[in-house]
Amino acid sequence: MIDPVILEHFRSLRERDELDAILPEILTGMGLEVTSRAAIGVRQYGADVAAVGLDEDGIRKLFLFSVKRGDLTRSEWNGASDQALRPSLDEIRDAYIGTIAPEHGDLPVVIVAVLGGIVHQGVQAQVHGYMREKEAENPRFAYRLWTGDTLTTRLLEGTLREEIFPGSRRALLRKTAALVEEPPQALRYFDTLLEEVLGDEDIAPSERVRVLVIAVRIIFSWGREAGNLEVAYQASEELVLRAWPQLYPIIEDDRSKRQEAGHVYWAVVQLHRDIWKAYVEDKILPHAGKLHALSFAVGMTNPLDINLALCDVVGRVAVGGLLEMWLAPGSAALPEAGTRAEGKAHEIARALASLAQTNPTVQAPMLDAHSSDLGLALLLLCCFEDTREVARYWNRQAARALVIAVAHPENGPRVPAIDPDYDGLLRGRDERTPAERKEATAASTLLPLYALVAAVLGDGDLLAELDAFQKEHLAHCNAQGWVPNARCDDKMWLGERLHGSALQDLTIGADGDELVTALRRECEENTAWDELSAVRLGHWPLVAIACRRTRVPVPPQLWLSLLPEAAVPDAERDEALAD
Amino acid sequence: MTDTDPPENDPAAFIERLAQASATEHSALKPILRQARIDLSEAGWQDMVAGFAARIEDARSALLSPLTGSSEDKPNHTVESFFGEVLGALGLPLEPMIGLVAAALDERRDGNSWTVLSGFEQWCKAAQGRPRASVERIAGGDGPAALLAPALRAGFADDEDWHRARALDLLEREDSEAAAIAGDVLAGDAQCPEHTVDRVLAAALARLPELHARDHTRLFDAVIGLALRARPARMPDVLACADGQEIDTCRRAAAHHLAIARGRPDERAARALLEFVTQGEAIEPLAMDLLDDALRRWLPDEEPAGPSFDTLVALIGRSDVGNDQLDSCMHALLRMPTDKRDRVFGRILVQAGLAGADAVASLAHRQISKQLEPVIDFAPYDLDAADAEAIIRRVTGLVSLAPRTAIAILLSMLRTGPAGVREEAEALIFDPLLISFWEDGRAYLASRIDAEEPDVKARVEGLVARLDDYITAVRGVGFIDELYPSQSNRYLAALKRANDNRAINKQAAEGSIWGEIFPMRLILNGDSAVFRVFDGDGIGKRAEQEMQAQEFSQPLPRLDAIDPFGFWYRRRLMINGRNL
Repeated sequence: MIDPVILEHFRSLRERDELDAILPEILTGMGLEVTSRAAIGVRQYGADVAAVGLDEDGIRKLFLFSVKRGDLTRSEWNGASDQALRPSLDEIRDAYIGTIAPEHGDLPVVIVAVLGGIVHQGVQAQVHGYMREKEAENPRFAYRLWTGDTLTTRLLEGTLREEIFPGSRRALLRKTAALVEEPPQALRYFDTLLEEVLGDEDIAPSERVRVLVIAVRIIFSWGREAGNLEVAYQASEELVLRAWPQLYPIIEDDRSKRQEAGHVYWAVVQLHRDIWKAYVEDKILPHAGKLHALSFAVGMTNPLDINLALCDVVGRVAVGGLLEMWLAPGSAALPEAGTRAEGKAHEIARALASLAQTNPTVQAPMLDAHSSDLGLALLLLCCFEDTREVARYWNRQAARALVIAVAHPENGPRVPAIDPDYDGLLRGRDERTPAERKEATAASTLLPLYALVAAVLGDGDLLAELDAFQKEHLAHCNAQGWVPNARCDDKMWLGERLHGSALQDLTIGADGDELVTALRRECEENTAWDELSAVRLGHWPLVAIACRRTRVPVPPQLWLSLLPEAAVPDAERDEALAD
Repeated sequence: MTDTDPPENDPAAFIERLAQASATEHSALKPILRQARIDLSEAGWQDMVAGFAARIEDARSALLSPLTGSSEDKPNHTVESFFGEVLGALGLPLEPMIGLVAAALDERRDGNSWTVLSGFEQWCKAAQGRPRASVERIAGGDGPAALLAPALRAGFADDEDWHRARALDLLEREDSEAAAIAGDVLAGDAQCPEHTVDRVLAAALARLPELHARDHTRLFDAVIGLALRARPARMPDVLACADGQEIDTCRRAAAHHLAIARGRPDERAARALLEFVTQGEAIEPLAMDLLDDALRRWLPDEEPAGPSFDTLVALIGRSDVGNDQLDSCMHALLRMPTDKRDRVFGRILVQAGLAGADAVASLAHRQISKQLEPVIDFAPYDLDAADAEAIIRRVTGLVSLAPRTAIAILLSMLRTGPAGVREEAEALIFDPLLISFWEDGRAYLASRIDAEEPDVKARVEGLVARLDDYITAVRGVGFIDELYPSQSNRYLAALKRANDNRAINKQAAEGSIWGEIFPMRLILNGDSAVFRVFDGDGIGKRAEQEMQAQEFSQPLPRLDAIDPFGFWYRRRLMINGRNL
């Protein structure tokens, strides 16, 4: 029986490139060797994907696929659209054949029209007639039509075949897909699926990840149909991290399987980017410049819910920006100031800057653990010259909120809570007596973050203010950051809450020198950073994603190239410049 | 009742019972007297008093023991009044009478002795010559000085000239207690001839500086009353005699006269008294209460530029006077005609600084269900831009729950304030007021469009259009499902809300006056309740009472939800007259 969850997935694919993305995984699962993948913007002569392998008759053939989304109607068969199917099929036969590799030149060719949906009855006769006519004209070319049903069958017989993806796992996928509007429950099922597949020793690591890529793609399409991509986002983010320890040993050490593993991991990253785009870029960022629109979009009147949701969003936006910055051609080894103000990362940074200004709740996080989201956002903004001013403003506002919350506990804003328990947050402040206040401010990751950003931006006034504030009000507070340690590779990708080391007892110093010196010293002495697989293999955004996901502060190593040699107060710097 | 018992409305029966209770069981007096009040006519009551007094042959009579005996019980008004009347009806000679009254006074504190003094005054009046004899005896030191006042007052009815002259003599020459009492009696004598008034006043002013403590304040209090009634121009001279050691008591006395004055006092005297009462770093709570009551009565008949409003504005501006201490005045302000009220609002906002804005906010928040929409003319105040900015910022920061009121005041400033403040007024109307209160704020502005002059009209139309754009943008985005809290968080939030509501309802029920008056019944189902009304005949009639719902809702500022810290911080700044 065709699995309705998977079938619905193919039918609901709205973009052609989504089908493009999943098709190679299906083909690989069928045992074909994918020789060419779709690349938008590149002239493809009608073929979106090409593969070589044995056909059902046991003969090795060249398969050329032309992909169309959804159902095939008369206009999409041979209409005016440049994506119409018939002209693409003609183009494959007339032009693409001339571009194929010499080693495949003698192979029989199968031209496959791939549809997510079905062929409408009104056009069936024309399609079949066309295929018969063309096969008669040149017997070297065979024509096939794959509908959503065909794709589902291929998938279930290939990548998701019974021995890899048995009924129990299909049930978990079905439950996850069905509950996309209730993320916590859906993610519980997805986590179980993830654990089962990644822990299956009978399947090769690349195959495990490929299965999960397809599973998340299915969840993605279901989420999009339901108008809620939360499960898809979290699932893909988790997969980005969980796939890494599965594949990096192969990428690093196994020459024969390196390329395949690289392809699979790229599919994971690409999947996450697709989902990020569908959620953050398409649903959030278009409204970033509209005053308060995203705050109201939370749909609650409780300030806590709005604050938690928006602080989480800035972290997601920032991660997307950092990922694009890393992917940009010629990007630096680590985030750095003066990054060229162009490309997608810059667009994201500018949108993030707008979002922070139009949704002021993010300027006063209510949860200390949101220092990870705020840190990533400020890190991204600090990289571009034209968003640094917003970073400075944001950092100042957030620092002021902390100072006022601690210094005026009677009726001011709440102190960012150390305990992330929602029920506790909801019940509100528990810091009325001096002892309670001391307990509520026993530790902070936000304070050193604000001071660090002030140092990066040369905000001497704020540094002096924070230094005095720390000495007067938070001398008892363990101001701390986070750095990786030798055991991180075993833990942080797996989402374990306790990983890495707390870099504690950070003091700011009047001009931020004490903090900057401590962070620099730690960066010099900490050998775990360079040994971290993601850093070793040049995948630093994974650290950023892991920090966001496990809610630990952004490590100073990611800030390193933005840090001043020695923090110099504004006034002194101005004097020096005048001299 | 047996055949031998006297009828219930017979004074003799009550006399008998009272005599028995007075001699043996004092606690029985109160119910007997209460019953007598119900059963007897006024004449019957007087007969009862006279009959009871007639049974008392000397000052040691056991019937007088409730008057002279010590008791741990709280004095009872009914019993005390009765024995006061009995005292007045006694036929005892002077010496034992003074002894009796002195003994009665010894058993009572000052506040509880008035029935005894009144009884003594009645006794003096009852026979010619008694007042004069009493005055001479008491002035000679044979009796408590406190009896001088009733004796003199009784004497004014008996031999007016002699007693007035004697009282003046006492005021001018006697020791301080007698002088204070004589001055008190003279000052309180509404029949005092004009030429004597000046003499009394002069004598009192001469004696006041040498009197202290209780004697000083007694005479000071009395002379204020005399000056207010008969010589208002001399009020400053009187007030100048206030004893620095007893200044609070003196101020309280002055405030008391303002509060009890019939009609509106002479303006000069009133100004002097108001100034005197409000001098000093802090106004005593009781004096403040009296002053609030006095001003409340004068404000409705006075123009906003009048002296009472001067005082009110000054009081509002004082750091030691809270809005709750001016409760009566605030109530009076809200009951004034709208145009007058708005002129007063203008004065308060301009002249009372931050406290003025706070007072207006307090008034605005009292009227939350029917918000005030003041139209204030700021032009007469010739404000500079900085002062005007401070006013609109304070109003915006403080009037945070009554958007119509806040916008109305800012619109007034836009209309009649200095040109330099218009941009900021417009900006503040939009943010935070309009974007905090979409519906109320917009409705008020829309209602004003046709009433405004072209320049302001254009600004109002622009604000409405800007708000519409803002709302359209927000609504256009709608809700983003991914941002919605999880089901478990929503459940916890709903649980907390339900608990909060339960606590509020419980507190409301406990604090409800209805809850005290009517027995509370819990209805579990239905929208009406069936019960039976018994009319004393048969099984009772079926009745059905439909339930009524009384609801009150108040929109909270949206900014408080979407930017709690920013809104709080900005309000703090604006309350202090600043802005971001």
